[in-house]
Amino acid sequence: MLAYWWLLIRAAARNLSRNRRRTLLSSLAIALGLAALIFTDGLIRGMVADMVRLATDLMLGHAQIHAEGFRQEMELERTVREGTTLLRHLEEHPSVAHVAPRVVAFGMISSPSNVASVTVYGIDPRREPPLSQVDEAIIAGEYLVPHERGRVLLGQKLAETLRVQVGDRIVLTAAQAETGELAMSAYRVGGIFAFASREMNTTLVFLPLQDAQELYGLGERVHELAIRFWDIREADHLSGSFWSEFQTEGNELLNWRQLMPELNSTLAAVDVQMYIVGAILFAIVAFGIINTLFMSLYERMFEFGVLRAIGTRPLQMAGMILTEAGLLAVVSIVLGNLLGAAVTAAVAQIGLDYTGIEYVGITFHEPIRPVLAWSQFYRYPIWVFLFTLLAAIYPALYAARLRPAKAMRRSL
Amino acid sequence: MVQSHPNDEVIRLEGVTKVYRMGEVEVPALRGVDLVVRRGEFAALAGPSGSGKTTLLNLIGGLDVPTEGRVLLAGRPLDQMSGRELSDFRRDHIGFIFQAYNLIPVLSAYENVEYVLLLQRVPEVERRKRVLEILEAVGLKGMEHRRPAQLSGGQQQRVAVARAMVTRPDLILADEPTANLDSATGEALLDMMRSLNQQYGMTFLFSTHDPMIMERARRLILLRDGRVVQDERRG
Ligand SMILES: Nc1ncnc2c1ncn2[C@@H]1O[C@H](COP(=O)(O)OP(=O)(O)OP(=O)(O)O)[C@@H](O)[C@H]1O
Ligand SMILES: [Mg+2]
Repeated sequence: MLAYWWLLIRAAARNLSRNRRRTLLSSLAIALGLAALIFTDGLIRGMVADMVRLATDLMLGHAQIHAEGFRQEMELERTVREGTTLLRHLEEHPSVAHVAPRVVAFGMISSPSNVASVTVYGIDPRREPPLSQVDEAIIAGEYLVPHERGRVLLGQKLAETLRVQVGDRIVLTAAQAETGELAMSAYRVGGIFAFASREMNTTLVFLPLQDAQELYGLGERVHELAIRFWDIREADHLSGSFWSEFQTEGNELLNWRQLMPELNSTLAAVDVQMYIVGAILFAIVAFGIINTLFMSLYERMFEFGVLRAIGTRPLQMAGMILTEAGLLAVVSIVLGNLLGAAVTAAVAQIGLDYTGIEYVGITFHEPIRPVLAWSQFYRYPIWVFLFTLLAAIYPALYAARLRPAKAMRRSL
Repeated sequence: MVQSHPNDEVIRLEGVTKVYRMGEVEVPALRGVDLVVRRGEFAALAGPSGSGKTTLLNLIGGLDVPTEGRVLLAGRPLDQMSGRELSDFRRDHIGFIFQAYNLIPVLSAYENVEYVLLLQRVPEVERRKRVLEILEAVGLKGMEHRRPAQLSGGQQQRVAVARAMVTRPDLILADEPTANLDSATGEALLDMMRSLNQQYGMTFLFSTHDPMIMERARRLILLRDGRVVQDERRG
């Protein structure tokens, strides 16, 4: 049996090389399809990685702890339970790179010329920088200095609305925890930041954690612990030891996917897009394969008639066509992998300019670079191989059903 | 006349007709043929163009099905075999030689002959022995590794003869095997077939136009308009 298959493979190889031009053209078509798949996958990987990085780097971190229910209404009293202890334990955990405690609350900001309602973030100037990009977004003045109090950071738009500059005084008004009493406190504008998102530039105010805790009457309590792991993949190990350790009573520990469901569903949609792109490419490729196989089938009609006449079984005829298709697929896959790797690597070098484009609230500020991964070079080729065989089934069945007398007569 | 044993009959046709349908038009190619060919015969099928020679050979070889009547090979009716059984029957019991383009162009002479033995799953050592032996018998020793394109028309037909014979079939059907050869080559091929027929006792049925070829046959079956009009044995 082995010898029989070996002869089939040799015959298929010689048939393919007998018609080099046609073989090259159709395998090039298949190869282009495969290369396009590899490139698209690389691009999506690059884009997803960028989006996730942009989203998590900005302020989110890889995971966060809040008191249960805090995220619904941002109720001032719903502070993280045992926040101080958790913070210490988190900082000692080997998977955790950085943790930042935050106060998050509504407030009113006023300057001599205007008033605005804002979201106030009390942040620890020392712990915050690795978790958010506020420090990098400063365009005037300075970022907060540890242990120095009484200064705030405003967004550029907000500063314009209030008509204040670095060094000017503003007043924050807030309702205090438990008592509900209004508290007012004056600060100086220490710095002005500009993020890519307009909304953040109009609604956010940062001030030192202790100032915020004092303003809202929170004592040592915080609303949010933002966590950054050494490896972002830790955030997906929801059944791992980290999760069971820190998903404590009364608190909720959520990863970035849960914190940004819209980003997560976008990523799922991206997967669907990949399937659609794949389906379209495969459909095009399928036509090429069927066409090529039929061309070579018609051309060799008499030959197939003879093969049937001398005792080749119908299924063996089909096997012959499938062998040829399989070989065509192998040649195409080698070509497609090389082409895909070359194009993806080249574009990764140059980068695709998406800067300034906003997508689900994330603004790209760097060119997107497609990412190469091993799986691209076996996952898609396997699909291409199977698909080529699938497309070959129709011509294969045609060959199997061929009536020998008819086949030989038609070609004379 | 002595009744012969049925198992002596390689071919039996009973009231075979064949009508080709081309849309509305019906072309009767065979109009009721009864024929018996016995083991070891060397018979020629002659007749003018369009008389039904190819049609008859195709029906005998199970390459096509009759409109009416029955074809029995070695006592077995072909119409009761499945597609696969028929393939296997052809593989094991019939050798075919066509007028031209018999060979798979991408396979060498050796591989072309070997192919049928591979279908039969003959083990490697025996396969090799039989292929080399038969290629030598048809006078192609030393040309085993040539592709058909590197062989003359006569040599290609000899490879076809070798392929038809290598399985030691009960019957060899040849449709104008010499039509594409010059007369000297054609006669040489026929002489070779005749000596193989005598040597191995294989049954041959071949069609031809050529009077020189007809002369070499031991039996001459004459077809006209889809009917057997003459059937004579000699020598
Ligand atoms: N597939 C077909 N469809 C329609 N008519 C056919 C078909 N095959 C053969 N015929 C017709 O049947 C008749 C017999 O044809 P056949 O090929 O058997 O003759 P032949 O004796 O082999 O002729 P030749 O010596 O030219 O090869 C002819 O009239 C031919 O045109
Ligand atoms: Mg004919």
